[in-house]
This record gives sequence, C-alpha cells and structure tokens, in this order.
Amino acid sequence: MLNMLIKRLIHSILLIAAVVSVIFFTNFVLGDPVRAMLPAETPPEAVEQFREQMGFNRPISVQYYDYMINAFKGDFGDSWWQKTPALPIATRPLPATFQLGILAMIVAIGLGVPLGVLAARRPNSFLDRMATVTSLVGVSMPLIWLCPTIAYLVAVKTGILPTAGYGTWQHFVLPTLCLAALPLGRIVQITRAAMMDEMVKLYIVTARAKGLSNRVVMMRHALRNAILPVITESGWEFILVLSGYTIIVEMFFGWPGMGYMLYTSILLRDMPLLAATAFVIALVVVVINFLVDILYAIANPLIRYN
Amino acid sequence: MNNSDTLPNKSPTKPKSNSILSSLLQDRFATISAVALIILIFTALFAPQISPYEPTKLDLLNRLIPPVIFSDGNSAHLLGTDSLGRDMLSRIIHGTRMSLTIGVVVVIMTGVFGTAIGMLAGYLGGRFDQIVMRFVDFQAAIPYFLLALTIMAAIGPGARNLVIVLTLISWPIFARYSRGIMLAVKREVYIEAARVSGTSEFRILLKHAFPNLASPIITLSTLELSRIILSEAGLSFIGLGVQPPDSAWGLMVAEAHDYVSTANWTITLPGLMVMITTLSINIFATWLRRVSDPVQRGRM
Repeated sequence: MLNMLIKRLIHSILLIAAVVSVIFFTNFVLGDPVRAMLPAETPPEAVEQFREQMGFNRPISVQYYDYMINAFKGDFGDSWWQKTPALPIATRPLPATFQLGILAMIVAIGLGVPLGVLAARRPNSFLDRMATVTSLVGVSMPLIWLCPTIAYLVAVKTGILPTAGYGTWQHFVLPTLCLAALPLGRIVQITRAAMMDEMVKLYIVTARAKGLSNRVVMMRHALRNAILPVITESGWEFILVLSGYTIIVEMFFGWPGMGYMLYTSILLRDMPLLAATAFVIALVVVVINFLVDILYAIANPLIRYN
Repeated sequence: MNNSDTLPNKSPTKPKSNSILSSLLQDRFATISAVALIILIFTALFAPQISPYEPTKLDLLNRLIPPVIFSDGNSAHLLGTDSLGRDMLSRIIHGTRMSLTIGVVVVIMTGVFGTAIGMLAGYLGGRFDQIVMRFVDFQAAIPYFLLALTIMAAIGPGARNLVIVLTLISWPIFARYSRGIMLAVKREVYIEAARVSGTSEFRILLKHAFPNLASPIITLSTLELSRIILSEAGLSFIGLGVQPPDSAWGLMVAEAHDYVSTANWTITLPGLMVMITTLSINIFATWLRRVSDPVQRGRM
C-alpha cells in the first residue's frame, strides 16, 4: 500500500510537470509572449528592446528551466490585468467552484447509483428504459443548451429563482442542476453495467441458491463489488465537473469560480493568469485522482493487502 | 442468471442471415437516430444550395424576428432572425456544415494516426511502446477540455487551429484501444502462422491484425465524433473556436448570450442542434456496439 502511494505521488508530480511544460511550450514556443503582451502597432525596435528586457531572447531551454523552477515555487509572474502575482488571484475562486462541484456530485451520485441499481434489477423494464434514456441524454447534453434553457424555463418564466449571481441558497439551485446532469448520466450507465456484470457471477447464483432475498443479494453482495467502478467513474466525473463543465456553467450563471476566472483570463488575454489558473485546476485534478486511488484501495481488499 | 434469459424475443432467436439493415430497422430509436444523422450529413453537404439566405447577410430592419410558429413570426424567416437580422435557418444550416466538418476531419485524422501508432506500439513493444504509453497516460489523466482550452488560448482561435489541437490531444484514445487489442491478437496462432509462412510484417498488421480492430475502432470513432462536436461547440462558445463571421452552433449560442430572456430562440435553437446531433450519434453508437459485440446484446 505504501509502495503504491509513493509510486502514485511521483506519477502525480510528473503529471503536473507535464502540464506546466505544455503551458510553457504553447505560450513560448508556438505563441510569442511579446506579441501577446504589446499592442500590435508597437514599433519593431521597441518590441526587440522589450524582448531583451523580459529575457525572451534567451535560448528556449534556459527559459524552460527558469519557467519550471518558478512554477514549482508557485511563481507564474504578475497578472497583466491586475499587476499582482497571478497565483494568489487564481486560487481565490477555488471555494466557490468546490461548493458548486461537490453539491452537483452529491445530486448526481445520490440519484445515479439508486437509479442504476434499480435498472439492473429488471433489465428491459420500464425503469431500465428510463435509466438508459437518462444516461444517453445525460452524456449527450450540451451545457451550452441546457444552461440557457433551464435559466429561461425556471428563472425567466417563473421568476422564483435568480438567473445569475452568487450568494444565497437560491443562487445554487440552477447551476447545481445543470452541472449534475452530465455526471448523472455517466454514473447511471456505469452503475447499471457494473451491477449487470456482477449479477451473472457464480457467487450471486450461490447466494440465490441459499435462499437469500433479492434485496440482500443485490445490496449486500452485488453492490459491494459493483461500487468499485462507480468510485473510479465518480472521481473522474468530479474532475470533469471541476475542470470542464464549470467553465460553461459559471459563465452562464455568473458564478465567481475557477471556470469564470479561466474565461476572464482568456477574454483579457492575460497569459500569466491563464497559466496559473490552469495550473491550479490541474493540481486539483491530480489531487482528486490521488484521493480516488486511495479510496479505491480502501474499498478493494485485493489492493489493500498487496 | 444467463444472459439469454433477460432478452426479449427479438433478433437473437432469428437466423443469423438477417442483414444489418433489418437489424437497424428493428430498433426504433436507432432507426430515428440514423435518419437524423443522414439528414444532418445531407444538410452539411448541400449547405449552400439549401440555405434560403446568405448566413452572413445582415438585415438590421428585421432583427430578432421570432420563428414562424410564434404569432408574430414571419414566413420569410422560418426559424426567425438573430440580433443582427441574419436568418437563423441559414446560419444553422451552415453551422451544421462547420461543426460536422470539424468533427469528421478530427475523427478521421485521430482515428488513422492513433490506430496506426497503437497497433505499432502493441506489436513492437519495447521503447516505442513505452513512449506511446506516456502520452496515453498523460491524455487519460488530464481533462480533455482543459487541455484544449489552454492550448487554444495560447496559439490563438480559429477553425484550423481547433482541428490541429483537437487532433493532437485526441489520438491517444485510439492508440490505447488499438494497442490493447493488438497485445491480445499478437499472441494468436494465426499471426504466428502468417509469420512462419514468410508474410511481411506490414502485411501481417494490415491483413491479419487490423480486421480484429475494425469494429471496435468504428464504434469508438462514433463516440469520439459526438465528444469532439461537443468540445468544438464549447470552445466556439468560449470564443476560442470558430470565429465570426463564420457560423458554428457554439458561436451562435455565444452571440445570443444576452438574449436569454428576450429572444430565447436565438440561443436555444443552435444549442438544440448540438443536442440532436450528439444524441443521435450516441444512440447510433450504442446500437452499433450492440450489433458488433454479441456479449453486449443482452445489455443495452
């Protein structure tokens, strides 16, 4: 177990290094940071002078080395927009995003796992078809359609909930629902498939032969084994929620979170802030991956005792 | 419990001579999704011929006309007009062409490249395999959308860059699948027999190994197509994808962002197109997976 943890930790650090490398490579090799920082009409001599002043004329390998060292110290340079170090600005919206993401996952798991189990109990029943439709619609749902449609139907038509903003509990309802839709679909799908896989195994036949009730067979025997892929999937969905879905949901609902920060930095072409925000999100992703691995090991004795 | 117990009395009991088409027609949802996809493909192919107006033609006197089903709609603009008076139907038709083209081009490029790399990695093993697996690990661990967005923001928006970036970050999925199948296939006796009888390595890969991959790769391609269309729409919405004056569904949603309460058709119609497309592709892919994999038949 300890061996596995150390291995995973090294793996995580390498992943972060790879993400920072991608940010460096796209910004400094494919793109030109000087062109991005200065207005287009700057005279060429001034551009060159600025390039020298900022150290962008040094060999790429030297710049890369510096960039990596600074990144691991948490220094991505000053935000061009706020003129203060980028990393603290990038971490500030983390709580708002976590609030939303965790609520959405509670909704998705709380509905998805029971629905998946019920669907697996009677394949091809009405409930099973409902679950299949839910999961298909969930995974096909474009957030750029779901958010405005829900905002229009609920907030604009009835006026009982605010269309955008952050603060009271009412503000949480619509973004949480939109954010939960996609993971819900996936979790239903995975739970159902995992339960079906378990239900045909021999230990289930044995349990049934012993005369145990269907309920006990499903909940005590099958679900315990089926929960492993569900844990992995939920962890991955949580990652997608925090690193992808929130960008669009937060934009629509004016939610002051990481996704909104990412969008703001793109809009303002603030490269250090974008790099810092992407770094923070990647760090969150890696940490969650790590935690999911530990949770998986705890739930799976095969890994725990090896 | 045996799988066959759970099956309704449908295709599996019938003789296997049933063609793929009749199997498709038996599944109502799959039939509808296939028809929808054919319509979408034709719309994309003949966009300039069937769109009633130029998608970029401004008409500021006729701004925000609702679709014809509303009482104040106008039969000159079946789906109404947007905030600049451009015809929604024409823009959606051209958007279909843009979104499907990007999706198909990216899937073909990643499919060919990723499958080739994955097959080689699985077949050769060793150093090459290890390097490929590092890319696969990275791609599997870092969320797709975040990666696409970070790179697009740095190298600049546009349809061409979008295709390049989506291709660069998607191929490892195909590589992972084809490598996995390749690892299993390479130990098969018929591969050894082919090698012993002096068949060239290239011919072994193409004629003996590839047929095992074809069906899972086709299913994976359809699923990837839906994901890439969703990503394209999302990135265009954020402003990093297709740029105005071109039309793409995601871009249309972004341009209509301020009209949620006053002219919601400008924002919901293009979003609905994304929904219809991805849903059709996913239903079709589910059916495809079921017919191509007998083990799955009782499940979906």
